[in-house]
Amino acid sequence: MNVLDSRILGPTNCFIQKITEPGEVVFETRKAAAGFLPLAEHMAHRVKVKDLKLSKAKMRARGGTHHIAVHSQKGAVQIGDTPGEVELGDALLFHNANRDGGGFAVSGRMGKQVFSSAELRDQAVFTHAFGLPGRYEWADANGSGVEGVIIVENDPAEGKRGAERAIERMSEGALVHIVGDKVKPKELRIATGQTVFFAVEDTDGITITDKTLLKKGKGKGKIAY
Amino acid sequence: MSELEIAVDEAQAALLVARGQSMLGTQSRSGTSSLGPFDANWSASASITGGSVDLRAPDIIRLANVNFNFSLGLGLSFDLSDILPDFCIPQVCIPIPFLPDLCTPEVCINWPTITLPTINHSGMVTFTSDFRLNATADGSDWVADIEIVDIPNLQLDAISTAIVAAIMGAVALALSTIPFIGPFLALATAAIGAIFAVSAITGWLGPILSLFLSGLTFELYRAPQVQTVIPAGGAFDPAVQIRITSLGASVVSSDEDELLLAADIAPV
Repeated sequence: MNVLDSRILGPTNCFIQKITEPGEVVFETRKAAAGFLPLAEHMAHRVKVKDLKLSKAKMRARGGTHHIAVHSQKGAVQIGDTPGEVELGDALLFHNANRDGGGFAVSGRMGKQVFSSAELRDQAVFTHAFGLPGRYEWADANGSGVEGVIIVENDPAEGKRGAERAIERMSEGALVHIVGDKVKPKELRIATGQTVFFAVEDTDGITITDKTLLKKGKGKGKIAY
Repeated sequence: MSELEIAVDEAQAALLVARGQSMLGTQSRSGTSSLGPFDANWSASASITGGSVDLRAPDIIRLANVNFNFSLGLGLSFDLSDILPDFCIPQVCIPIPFLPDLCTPEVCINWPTITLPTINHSGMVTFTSDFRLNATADGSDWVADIEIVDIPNLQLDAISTAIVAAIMGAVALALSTIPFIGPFLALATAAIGAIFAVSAITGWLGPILSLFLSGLTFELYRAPQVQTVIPAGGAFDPAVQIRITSLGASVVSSDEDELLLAADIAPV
């Protein structure tokens, strides 16, 4: 339920992709990570992209977010309402709408660019809410060498007021910014329940995967459920 | 006056009681019973040993400081949602270098059902209770036994305290694996601790152990109704047999208290 692995989006994960190409966004969801497979065009979802003719800098600095709920239950993945049209610079946010549902993966393309939750490339975000205290060493399962550490600690939360304070703190997100092979910060300390936003730019397609899920000495990781 | 009488003093009566306890051996039971708002599966075995004998006319044997040895297995599971309020990870918004105001949706968590590993506890309590003498025909035998009169009030607080500690240890271990429980750990532990208080465990354990005491009977004496008093001397000299037509058991007091078995007999 709460495994740190961008290849499988669980109830406490989101995948966000900023739309950087005009025309249309075509995407599909699957039960398992398979970003390398071609899209099943006839079953894919399509969203029109309105070009505002903005400079790259302006487009980077703007953008609304369109939430797309994904229902993943018992072998089936279904997508909720999708926007008919979005603006260039907006983002699509995919989240698991089922509390106890299985995971899913998203992949698609916009213009000639491909994107996938299993291979975070450019202006993509993976979020994970950390439910248990501990030291989480993460790495790219695709073997780029990108890695980092998240240290999660229980806040002392005595009584009802303490729990309320802890929930308030959960609304404070934390950012890990990855550009190419640079990770900032490499090590991040948060409280249990807080969400980390892994914002990825300019990579060949990385994953954010708990190292305990990766086979030692291998470039490619396997998900160990 | 009966035709046959056997009288034993308290020391010999204690031997008969010890034999009866040994014959009864270890008894086992299992079931489900309410523990606070939850159902608990349990299995228990018990044996009873020792105790000093005090004969009390006309038909009571008081056993003092009897050892009640028991082993208990407790299986417990409960839905954490019954204890903790529903919880949602709030919406989280932060500026991303390429998205000025990115917000995640609120995510609500279903608290799971916790199943604790079986909690085993062995212990011993002592009790004092009166047992009433009975003599009855059982098939072709006569039997004299003693049956508990009233179920004693067992002093279980020390045992309950140990069981509470075991439960709370298992609860702490189980809670530590539940995602997002962190902020609620103190609340959950306090709430669960209130449910599994010593008084609650005592209230739960007492009826289970009382099952072993209800109707508790030790057999003191068993003899066939028909007994050979002179063995056969040959083909034309058959055995001489008598039949015990009635058997009585009582305590008589004279210069000392004695357990008396009195029988009437008749020729076969």
